[in-house]
Amino acid sequence: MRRVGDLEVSQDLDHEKKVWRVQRIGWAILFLLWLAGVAGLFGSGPLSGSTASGSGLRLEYDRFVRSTAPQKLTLHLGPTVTAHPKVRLWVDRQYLENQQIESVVPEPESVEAGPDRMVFTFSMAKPGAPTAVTVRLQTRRAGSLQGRVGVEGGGSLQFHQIVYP
Amino acid sequence: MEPVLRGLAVYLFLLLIFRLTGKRSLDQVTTFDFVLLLIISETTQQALIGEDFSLTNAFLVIVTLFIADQVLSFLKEKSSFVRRWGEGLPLVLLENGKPFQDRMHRSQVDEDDILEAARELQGLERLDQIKYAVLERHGGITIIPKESAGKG
Repeated sequence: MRRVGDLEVSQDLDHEKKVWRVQRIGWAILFLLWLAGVAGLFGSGPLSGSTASGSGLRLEYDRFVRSTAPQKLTLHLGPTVTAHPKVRLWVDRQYLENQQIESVVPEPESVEAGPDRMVFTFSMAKPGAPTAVTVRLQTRRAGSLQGRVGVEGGGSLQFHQIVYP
Repeated sequence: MEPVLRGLAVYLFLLLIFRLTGKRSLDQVTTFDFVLLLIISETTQQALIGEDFSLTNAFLVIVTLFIADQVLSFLKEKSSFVRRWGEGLPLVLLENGKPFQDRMHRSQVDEDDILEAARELQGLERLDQIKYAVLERHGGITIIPKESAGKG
């Protein structure tokens, strides 16, 4: 047993200095992670919000989402897409398998299951005018998710999400 | 499988946070600290059980926490490295009435804390009546009075 003066105590100042250093570094890392959280690296923040667009479609989504937390996908449809009274949008089936759909606004007229995609049919109030479809989801699986949405007979958009547990 | 992973993740995360906060984190619990602890436990609870409110899930999580704790104390017993890092070592804060300011500052202890412990444990009145003040591993301060300093 070590001694400090008359005291039998297992004090180790070198170890204590190491502990203090590790604590300082640890807090610095924690603070950086917290800042990243504020910025949206762990979902819902400026770093997370993202858009993909092309062929008359624009998708707003979150790059970073958390498992079981609600998330929102907004698909903006340009005038070229809404030219017909019925618009048939599809979503990758694999993507939907890992999601729980809370709501689709507007409500689709019908949903059809295909071998690799789900087709949602919407009727347009004003064909040729831009509109948007909002889907609220809860992701059920942590990891990396690849999604694809598109218009039947038109273009499609691919997006990628990181899902934290 | 999932409850075990949840239990382990929460256990390790809390262990890390409390070790980063240092020895003193839980010794002097003020009313606010107590409320904070309640909030932390409330937040943790959700993450621990997720959306599965079954008894089986709860039991699995509890058993996981106990096993993790047992394994940690077993490792502490076996390895001095784990003991030093997982639990820390005692630190002398004051010797013969002279406080070590640097150690006190880094351990977030001030003279008032030492005097409080001295009054409470030994009935001492001044720093110069203290021979040693030691910050123990559990976060409390123990006091050895000078032989000349009589009680009362």
